[in-house]
Order: sequence, then C-alpha cells, then structure tokens
Amino acid sequence: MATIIKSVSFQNFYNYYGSFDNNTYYFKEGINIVNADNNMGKSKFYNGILWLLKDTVYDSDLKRMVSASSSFPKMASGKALNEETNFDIGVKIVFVENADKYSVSKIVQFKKDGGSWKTNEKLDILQTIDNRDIPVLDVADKEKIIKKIIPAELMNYALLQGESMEELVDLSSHNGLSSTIEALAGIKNLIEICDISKDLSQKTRKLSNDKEKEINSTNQKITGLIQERETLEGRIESTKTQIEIYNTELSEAKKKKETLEAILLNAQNREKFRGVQQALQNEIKRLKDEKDNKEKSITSLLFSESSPWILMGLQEQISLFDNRRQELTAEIATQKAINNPIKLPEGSPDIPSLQRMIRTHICEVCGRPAPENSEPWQHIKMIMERPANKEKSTKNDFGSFYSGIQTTVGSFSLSIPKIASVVQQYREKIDNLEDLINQKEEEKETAQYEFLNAGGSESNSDVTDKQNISDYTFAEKTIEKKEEDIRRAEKSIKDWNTRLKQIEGEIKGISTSSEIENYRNFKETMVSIEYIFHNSKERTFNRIIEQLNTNANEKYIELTKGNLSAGGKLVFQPQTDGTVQVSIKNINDGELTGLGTGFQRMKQLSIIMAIISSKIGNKQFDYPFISDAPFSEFGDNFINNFFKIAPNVFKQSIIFIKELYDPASENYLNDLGRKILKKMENGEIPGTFYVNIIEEKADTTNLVTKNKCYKG
Amino acid sequence: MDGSQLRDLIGQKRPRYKEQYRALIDSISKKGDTSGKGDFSSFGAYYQTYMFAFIVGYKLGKQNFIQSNEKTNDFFVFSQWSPTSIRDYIVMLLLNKSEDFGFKWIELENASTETIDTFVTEFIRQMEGYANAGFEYLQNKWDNENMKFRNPFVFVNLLEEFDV
Amino acid sequence: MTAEEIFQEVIKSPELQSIFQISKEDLEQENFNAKSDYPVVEIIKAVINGQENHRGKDAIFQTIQKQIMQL
Repeated sequence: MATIIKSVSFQNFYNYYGSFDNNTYYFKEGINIVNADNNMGKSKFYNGILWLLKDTVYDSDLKRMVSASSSFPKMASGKALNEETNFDIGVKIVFVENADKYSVSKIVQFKKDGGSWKTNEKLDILQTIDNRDIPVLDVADKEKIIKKIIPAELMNYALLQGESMEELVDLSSHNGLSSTIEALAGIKNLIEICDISKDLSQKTRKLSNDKEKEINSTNQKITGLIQERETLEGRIESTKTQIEIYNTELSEAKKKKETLEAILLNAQNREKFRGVQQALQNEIKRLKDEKDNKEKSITSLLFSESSPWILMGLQEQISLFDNRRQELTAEIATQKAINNPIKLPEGSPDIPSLQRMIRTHICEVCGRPAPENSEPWQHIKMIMERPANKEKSTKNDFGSFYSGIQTTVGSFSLSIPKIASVVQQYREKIDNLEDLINQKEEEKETAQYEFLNAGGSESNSDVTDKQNISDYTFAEKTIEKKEEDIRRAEKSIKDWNTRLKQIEGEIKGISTSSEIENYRNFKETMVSIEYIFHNSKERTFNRIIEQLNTNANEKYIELTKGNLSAGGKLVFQPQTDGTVQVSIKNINDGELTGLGTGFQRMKQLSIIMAIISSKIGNKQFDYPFISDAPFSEFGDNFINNFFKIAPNVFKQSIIFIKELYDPASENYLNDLGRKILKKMENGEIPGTFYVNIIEEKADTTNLVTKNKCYKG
Repeated sequence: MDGSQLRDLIGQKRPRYKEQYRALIDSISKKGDTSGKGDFSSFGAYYQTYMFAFIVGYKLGKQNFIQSNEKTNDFFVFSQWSPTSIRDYIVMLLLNKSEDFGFKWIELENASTETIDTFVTEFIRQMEGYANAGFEYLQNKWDNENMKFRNPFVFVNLLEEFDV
Repeated sequence: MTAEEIFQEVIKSPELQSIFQISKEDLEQENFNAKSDYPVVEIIKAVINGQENHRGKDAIFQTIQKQIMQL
C-alpha cells in the first residue's frame, strides 16, 4: 500500500510560469529537498499540493487557510495575467501506488472577458495501464484516487506546514488533543459509548423515579421525596457540567501562569544576553574599524617619510652613492692638482708673514730684499692672494646637489633594513584582528542563541515584561478563584449525594417491593456501567498518552542530539479538564527553557513523528510526508538530525526549505546545503535535491521561478 | 653651473607615461587625494603611482622607453612630488646608474651647459623607461591576476616578489 | 478501536469484580460473540453493539430494559 510521488508539475501557478513541462520536479523515495528562499516559490509549491489534495491554499496576506476557489486570481502567474488573455493554471501530481500509476491534474482555465477574468475549474485524472493513459471519469473514483495519495485521517500530519503545526499538536486544547488521540487510537466510538451510557443511566433514573411515583402516587411523603430527589439529581448534573467548565478555565489559567512564569524567569537572562550581544556588537565594530583603518593605511606606509615600505630591499644604494661621492671628491682633487702645477715648498710662510714681507719689502724665505712692485715682491703678493683668487678646478660644482641628496636619504640607511620585519609585524597585527573579529562573531552568535532560548525576540521589551507581570498576577488570582469554585461545587454535590442517600433510605423504609427493587437495581446497574465505561475510557486514554510520551521522547532525543543546550525531555501532564500539557523539562524535572520557539517546534515535530510512526509500527510510513519545513530558528544540528531520522520514518518525504539557501554563493547553497548535497551525492542520504532560482529580477508581478536539479 | 641649478633643471621636468596605461593608473590612483591615504588598493596621488611603477621597473631591471610615435601624458612637475625623500631616493638610484646611460659624474663636473641639458633629458628618459616598464608589469597583473588587487597588501606583495 | 477491542478493554474493569462480584476467571472467559450468564456483561455488549450499528439511544435502552432486565 505504498504511495510514492513521481513528479509534481505546475502551469502558470504563482511564480511557476509556463507549461507543465517547463516546471516539473521529479521525486524519488527518500528525502526530496526543494531549496528556495522566501518569494522563490517555496510556499507556493506547498500551496499547489494543498490545492490538489484539500482544495485549500494558505493565503499569506490573510495569514490563514482559504478555499482554493476563492483564491484563483492570486494563484495565477502574474506574468501570465499581464501577457495573455487566455491561459490555464494548474498543478499535476504523478504518483504510483504499488503497481498502479496515476496522474492527477487540477486546472483552472482563465479567459479574459472585458476587464475581468472568467475561470473554470477541472479535475483530470489518468490511470496508466499497460503503458496507456486511461482517463478516469467517475467522480467517486476520482475522489478515491486522490485519497490514495494521502488518506484523510493522516492528512493533517503528513501534510505539514510550520504555521499550522502548533494548533495541530496542541494537546492542551481540546481540539488538538482529540484530533491527536483520534489519529492514534480511534477511540471516537468509545467516547460515544460513554456518552450513550450516561444517557442510559439518566433514562433508568427517570424510569425508576417514575415507577416509584406510580406505585406511591397516593403517598404524598414519597412523592415529595421523589420530587426532591429529581431536583437534586438535576442539580448534580448541571453542577457537574459547571465543574467541567471551571476545570477548563482552571487549566487555561494554569497554562497561562506557567507560560508567564517561564517568560518572567527568563527576563533577566534575556536582559543579560541582550547586553552581551550589544557589547559584542560594539566590540566587533570597533575591531572592524581598526582593521579597516590599518588596511587603508598601507598605501601611506608605502610612502612614509621615516620608513617608506616602497624602498624595501634598496639599502645598499645609499652606501653606493656615498662611495661615488667620495670618489668624485677624490677625482676632483686629482684633477685640480694636475691643473695647478704651482706648489708651495715645505715650510712656506703663512699669511701674516707674507703680509709682513710685503710691508717690509723683504723676502724672509731667501733673505733678499723685495722692493715694491719688483718681481719677487709680485711673487710674494701672488702667493698671499692665492686663496682669494683660487682657480676653479672644475667647470661645474655639483657637490651641493649630491650632498643635498645624501642628507635627505641618509636616515634611510638605518630604517630600510628594518622594513621587512615591520611589514611582517603589520601583517600579523591585521591577522590577529581578523581572528579576534571572528572569535567575537562566534561569541555573539552564541549569545543570540541563548537570547532566543530565554524566550527572546525582537518584540520583547520592558513594556512587555510589565504587562506580563500583571497578567501573571491575574492568572494566579483566577486559579485561586476557580479552585475555590470547584471545591464549593464538589462540596455541594457531596452534600446533595448525602441527602440523596438519605432520601433513598427514607423511601425504602416507607415503601418497598420486589418490583420497585428491580427498578432500583436496574438504575444502580446502569449508573455503575456508566462508571465502568468512563474508567475504561480513562485507562485507554492514559495508555495512549503514555505510548505517545515514550515514542515522542525517542524522537525528541534523536532530533535534539548534539545541540548546544541539552534538549531535556518531554513531559506529558494530564490536566483537570482532560487535556494534556506537554512541556520540556530538564533531568530534574525543572523547567528547561522559556519560549524558545526552536524548542517548541522540535517538541511539536517530535509529537507529529511519534503519531505518524505509531500508526505504522516498525515499518516505514507508506505515504509521502510533505512539509513546508518549519526549520527557522533551528540550528544546523537539528536540520542534520532531521535528515538522519526522516528516511527511517517516512518512505518518501518532500521538504521545502530555505535554511540551506544562500543567494550570494555561486550555487545558491550555504555550508549546510553543500554538506547535505554531498551526503546525497555519496548515497548517505537517499533522495533528490532541487534549488529554485528567480529568473527575472523585474518587479514582483513578473517573477518567474525556475528550478535547477542538483541531484536527481 | 652649481648644484641648485642642476636640481632645478631636473625639478622642472614633467616625466611622462604612455597613454595606454591611463586606464590602469586611473584605476589604482585616487586623483587629488592629498592625504596620501587612498583606499587600500589605490594610491593617494598620481605621482605615488608613478613612483611605485618606477620602483617596480627598477627592481625588474627592465625599461620600456617611450617611442616618438607613442601617445603620452605628462605627470605633475617633478619638483613638487612628495614625499621629497622618496623622490630624492629615485634621483639617487638613477645617479648611481649614470655611467650606464653614458655620463660619469666627473665628466658632468666639466660638462658644458648643453651637455648638462642632454644629461637631464636622458636622466628623465631613463626614469620614464623604468616607470613605463613598471606600468607594463602592473597592467599585466591587472589583466591576468586581477584578484590580487582585492588584497589590501597588493602593492606590498608585488614588491616582495622581487626580494625573494 | 473495534467493538471487540472495546469489549476486551471494558471487561478488564475492576468494578466488575468489586461491584458486581464476578470472578476474575469468569471475566477472562467472557466472549464478545457468545452469550454471557451475567446481565451486566450483556448490557455492556448491548451498548457497544448499539453504538457500532448506529442505533438510537432509545432503541438501545429498550433492548436493555425489555430483553436483558425484562422490566
């Protein structure tokens, strides 16, 4: 009895523009992933399936399920509406059930009529027999075939959407609980039997009373007592009904209190992690700015006045230049010497002596007279004046040019050799900043995670907390009041029962016969049977809850394996009003987390998987499990665990997920997406992997989704 | 002629670059940025780019001279280049090689004004040769290894390649 | 649950022993399809069958009153 969906196709359906052939997804056993970001046809795909199976779709504007027929215009491709006057929209599912193959298509024909559209819906079903497609025409047969895909009683659990999960497995609401119990054990008939039994015991009461009145019609005392008895029995009935109402109100108040307790308990934690996140955010910004600055400064460091990186490796040039300068000085001196042969002998007189000789007209070197303007006197004068009219030995004098340069670059001889290590240190500094930034980012993510686990969300604020405190006080008062009301009501019933016993005794004392005894016995028998049926129902109910508890906890543990915070365990607590509260506790039965949505979702998913798996014993679930995956706020770890468990529970699952998507990466997958694709490619996870991409980035009315098959 | 005159002669020149490298220079320079601090993968002012290209060509040991038929653009006047210490370093590097392009310092001491003019012209030509070889090298990197320019250390890395 | 499953569950009720004094062994012998010696067991079957066959409450009551209790 296994159903496997082979393909799903769309025709001009939301973003899926074009014919069925253009928009087909081929699926297999195992996990079939359709990876798409928001607005990329993820939820629209799911809507297609809802339409085909249930004639409903989820309206994202109204945020609830609506009938498909009321939504046809919204379901039509914007591009088709804009560009065509006559087109069809549709969803087609091709599936096999054991050896039979079927193709089911729901189609709506759109025809432009003046300014509006006329629509016409059709349902086409083909059965493939011996390779021939035979149309199925009988309406009842068509309905049966659609039910083969997923049977009605399992529809809610096999067709899973994030938003609707909460109501589905809210065991603390009567609706949620009864549908869950119903899905698990089909005890609707037992419940009806209890109802019948209650009615029967009321009938016997009346019968017995009437008989008593009949027999004792003349006895005023007895008729009076019977009257009183009827009155009291009536009051007891209505009071019991009232107690049921009180119990419901009490349960709700308790649930509210527990919820608020967790919220308030975690307010401090939230504050703390909010603060930690902010501080880390500031720190990260500071570090990023610092790194940024450092990176931007590199260019100016290349040209720094004191230690310019641009000159790295060029230090020998300075000493080379210096040598050249010295060589030049030497060469100039040599040249000068060659050009000026006049040399003063050793022991030549100094300037003052020469001046004296000029004055005294005596040459002190050779001791002979040197009259003014004589040749010897001229010679002495020339020697004395030699510094003043020293002849230039070279035509140009570029010494200051070279020395100027030497001065400018001289200091570099010390700094240039150090540049290599300076650069190295600078690199290291930037690397260290990078590491530090990464570390802080991780810490910030951890703080974010803790914040969410403490019930944090963007809307949490001081104001909300104040409101919560007042709601909490109100809940406590309500609990007190309802408990008091119940106590009083139960006391009344007890008193009335006592009185009834008295009346019974009195009546028996006054009048008894075997005939009336029979009726009395009948009455008591039926009352006891009512009690017996009621208790049997309770026993069965408790057994179901116990099994659900065990099974759900098994799934929960597998799903939360490896998570940063320990997942704790699920605890199922029956309430006074007959509902069941499922909370997450730690090992010591203490409240584990506040309202971390992530954990709530895991709890819900565990219960769903427990329900599904308990329908099938140890086999796999034989129908497709289709989920618009409620994976937001889960870590990668949970998603990994889910993909590990799912193939064991479901023969085929089709999962729409956005948490593997990264629009910036070249294959649109993030790290986790790539890891999962790899596991699929090497056979660790059986199934297929599709990615949706938007083709035109025009305005949203013309969005067109295409798919890319990464693993077929 | 004395040292300051020679310095002025050189200083009033405007070294040129080949027009074909204009786009590259625009890409890696931030024109008019006087702070000297460009974005991390661009130079502050154009002459920083020129000096960098010169050093690259010098380290390569290659020159790419401007031919008479090639289109060129002038750079800012050499005396205004900054920082002056690096500018002077470049002068020093060329002076150290002056014999290779035909001029001994001692000869310059005795040279006529015309000869000095020739020297200065050749000096600048040599500078342009290295710079344009550097631009050619950078153009190649830009065209074929463009990812390198996304790294803040791109220009440091390019220089370090020569010192290995 | 099927009618038989419901019956098997109900027959385990301790009240049948405590209130109606039926022995455990006798209860274990009870069969959904065979007539029981105990009226209370027959009433229980009547209710279970009546629900399964969608009989009205009045009709079920009549069966119990007239046939089983003979009143």
